[in-house]
Amino acid sequence: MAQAPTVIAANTVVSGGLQGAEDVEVLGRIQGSVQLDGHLTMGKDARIDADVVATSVEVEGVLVGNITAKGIIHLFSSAKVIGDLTAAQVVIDDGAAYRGMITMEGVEGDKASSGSGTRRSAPAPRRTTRPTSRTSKRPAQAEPEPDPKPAKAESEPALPAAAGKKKKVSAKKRK
Amino acid sequence: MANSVIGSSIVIDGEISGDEGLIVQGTIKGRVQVSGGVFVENSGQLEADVEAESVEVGGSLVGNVVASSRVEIKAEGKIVGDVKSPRILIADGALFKGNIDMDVGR
Repeated sequence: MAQAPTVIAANTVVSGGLQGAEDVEVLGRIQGSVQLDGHLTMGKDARIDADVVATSVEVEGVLVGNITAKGIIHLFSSAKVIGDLTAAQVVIDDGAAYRGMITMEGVEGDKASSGSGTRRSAPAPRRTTRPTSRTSKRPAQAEPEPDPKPAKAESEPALPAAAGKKKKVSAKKRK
Repeated sequence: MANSVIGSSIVIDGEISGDEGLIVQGTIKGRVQVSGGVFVENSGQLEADVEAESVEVGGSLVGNVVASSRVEIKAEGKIVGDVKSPRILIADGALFKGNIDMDVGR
């Protein structure tokens, strides 16, 4: 029997850990964790609430969680992602909405780029440009990245799990 | 409608639920609850309770099964667990251990 590619169909929810050594296409929902030795693709209506570790990741839907990839992480124009991205290369298309920290392998930086613990303990207020409190819905403020168009991001009730998910920023807010 | 396919190297530890059917070539530990059919292929290994419209097992399923239409255990298949379904087909060579309850009247 031919090996069919792994597909999580639309309307299907996987709640728990998914791991494997092949490519996976997600058109439904995953909550939990994803660990793949392969390529992960997400459809436009897909949603992943999980930390993802894969060889490469293509996001067209909503992903809340950190992504770690050996190769490329590519956020398409319909993507909405909250979480840290760590990869050899990160590509963000015009129109994508993103909030988090990006670390590209091989890029030296002065700040500690791994782990949020270091920042949290720093007494200096890192609260730079946050006018409103926790649920800052406009991803444009977070990163000096290729500026994701706010218009597209607001058309959908923004990034819902934003409040609970952000480790670095929300820690200051609760004070 | 497309079925979900769980490839042979995939291990899912948790629950799967949905409206689509499910083709399992890999391993699932936990629970499966779908409105469609569940097809466990030869390489499929389920350690899960399954609730589906129909269940076809060509691999291994350890867990209880509740199907609203039918359950089939193929010649290479194995079920260890209780089965509740209005219809059941156990092929020659299949392995089964558990109770069968064909009365799905509520």
